[in-house]
Amino acid sequence: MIRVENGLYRSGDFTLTCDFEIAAGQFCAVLGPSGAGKSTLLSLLAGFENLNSGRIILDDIDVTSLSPDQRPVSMVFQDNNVFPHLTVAQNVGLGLSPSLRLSQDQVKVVEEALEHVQLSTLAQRRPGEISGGERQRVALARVLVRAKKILLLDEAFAALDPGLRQNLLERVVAIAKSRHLTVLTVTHQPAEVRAVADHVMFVAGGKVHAPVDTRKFFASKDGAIAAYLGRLEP
Amino acid sequence: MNGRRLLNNRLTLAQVAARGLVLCAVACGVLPLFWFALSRGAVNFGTGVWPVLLFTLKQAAASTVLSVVPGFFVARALARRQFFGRALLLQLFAIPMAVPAIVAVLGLTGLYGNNGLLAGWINLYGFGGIVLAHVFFNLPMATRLFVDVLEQIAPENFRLGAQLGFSEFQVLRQIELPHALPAMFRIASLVFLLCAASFVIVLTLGGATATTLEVAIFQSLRMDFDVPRALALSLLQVALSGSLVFFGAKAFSPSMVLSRLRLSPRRYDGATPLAYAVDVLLIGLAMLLVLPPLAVLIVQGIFNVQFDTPLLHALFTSLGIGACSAVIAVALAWNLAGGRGLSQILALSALLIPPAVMATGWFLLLYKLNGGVLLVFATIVALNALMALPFASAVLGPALNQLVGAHDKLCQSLGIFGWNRFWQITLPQMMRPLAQAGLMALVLSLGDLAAVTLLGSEGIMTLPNLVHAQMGHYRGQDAQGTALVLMGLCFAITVIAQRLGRSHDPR
Repeated sequence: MIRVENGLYRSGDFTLTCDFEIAAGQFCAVLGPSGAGKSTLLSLLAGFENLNSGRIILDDIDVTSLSPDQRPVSMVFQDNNVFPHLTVAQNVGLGLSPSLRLSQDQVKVVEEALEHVQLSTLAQRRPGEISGGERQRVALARVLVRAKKILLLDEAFAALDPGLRQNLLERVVAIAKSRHLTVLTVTHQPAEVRAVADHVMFVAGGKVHAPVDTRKFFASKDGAIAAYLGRLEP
Repeated sequence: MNGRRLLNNRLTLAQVAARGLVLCAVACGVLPLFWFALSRGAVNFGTGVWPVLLFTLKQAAASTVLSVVPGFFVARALARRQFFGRALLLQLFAIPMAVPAIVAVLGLTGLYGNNGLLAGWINLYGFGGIVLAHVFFNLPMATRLFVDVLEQIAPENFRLGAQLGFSEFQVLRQIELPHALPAMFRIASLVFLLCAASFVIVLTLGGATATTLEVAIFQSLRMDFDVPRALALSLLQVALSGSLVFFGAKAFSPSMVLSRLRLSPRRYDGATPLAYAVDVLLIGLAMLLVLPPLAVLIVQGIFNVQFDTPLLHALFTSLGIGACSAVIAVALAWNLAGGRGLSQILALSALLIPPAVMATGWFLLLYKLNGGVLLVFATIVALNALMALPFASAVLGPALNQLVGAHDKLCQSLGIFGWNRFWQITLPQMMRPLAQAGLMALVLSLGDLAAVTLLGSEGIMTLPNLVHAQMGHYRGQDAQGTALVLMGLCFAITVIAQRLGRSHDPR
């Protein structure tokens, strides 16, 4: 569950206001024009940036003043999700222990996660030796071992080919279903989330609009949304 | 082979000329030495040579360790803190690069010397003083280079670290060190190279026993006229520099002097009071290293500035030499840019064959030719230009390559070639890097005492020369005044170059 109450974030000329709630287990897409604050919203939830005022509640815990590692959140970025000097398995293991001192059980958990994303054979490779799609799967495996209830995807698959993008998105949907995760995904490809997202949050004009049903969003007559989606005004 | 390479593989006349000129200069430096040695007996690797090599290595190693390791941690402190005055502080750290060696020596003497404010803290004459002076120059430079490296780390790495609950040590180990280690190797090579070839500092602070290859070459040539010994020392110096230059050269970057405004990634580590205290202490100590010697010089020098005839004469001589060598250095750097192999080695020739060696050969030629003051002036300009060339190339090379890469296809499709392309496309966009490279070369030449000491004759007196002479004649106050003028000049030029750099940065 994600809830932001009277959230206000300000940085220089840029302001972002948000006040919304997403129920646990929902799959929600964040859409909006470039520079509107989609990534900032995710950074606020993850704790990389802090609200100037307001509260953030994740899974019934007020996390407003908690550091990123204390929040029930995993995040996947577009790039740099893995450390190049560590093996695939070590990168996943970091999700369990930052010092990489893993117990026998934890090693097993890592192996299972790698199996789940079909990377077992590449466990001892380094990120430089695997493809971009495989690197994002490493990040997904780490999401699995961390077992946090909220998953934030910041254009996580944007750099991949359409087929691969679809494939990974379906994986995420499957993982979210089985683990009952609340997912927020920022994307520039509205069409792709149409089939999988329960809700859409529209970020524009310095405001995060409350989530609406995906079908309603794509049928919206709202001028800003229509302009964003590239539909001609009626 | 890609398209760009294909286009570039025919050299223009100017490019050929630039290569020829530098090659010729190097040949004039090296060949007379061999000829002389062969005609007068063998190279003399006598007993006096090895202790000099040992001392050279020892002081360079100590200077490198004391510059690079603390430099990294100061850089780390600066990279992870955002505070008011940070940009200014980073600019302050660029000052030592712009301060002529002789001026720094005078500042250090004013502070730690026999009559200094902190007399007795450290024995400035000998190993300790040489290392201190080298650290004064190289720790801030290493810091700036490391800040650059650390700021290039992807912000996601720090976010990921924060989300995974990395401790401060883990951020260091998993994020910063893997990124910084290759750079550390390059920067250490560069610092070692600069310290091993340092001339003015060792000449002024070293005693009879504390002498490096560079200074020993000069002494055996100009004082003892022992050419076989000079040749032996030169060979050792070239071997030493040659083995380091290819690692060190990669660390050459405009950031040594020029500041770039870049958004540094936001950091989530180091929030504990202890980490905060350590960072404040580190930054404070670095400032204590850099600022007091300069402050002493300013305070003591300000009342001793006398614009008398010797000073004005030296000022004009310095500006003349500086301007000539800056123009030559930039012209050479421009025409050597973009090439690989030979042209790259030629751009670094002054590092590979250190000035003292080059000057030895030239001096032998001059001695034969019995040239007048004008010829001596020309060789000083040439040596200064060669010494500034690696720095000018570091600024011009990347800018020019980027430009060629960005516009090559467009220019081809529009049929803009040759002179038109240079005049209409390249030059307007290269004005800033050109000016920067020129100003940097000017600062280096203005402050240089090595070339003028190695080649100079009675008739030529530059500002650093005058400072040195006044120091030698126990006219310390005059020296301080002259040094302040020199420092002010170099500082002003550096500030202008930095301003240019700021608006040049695409971000």
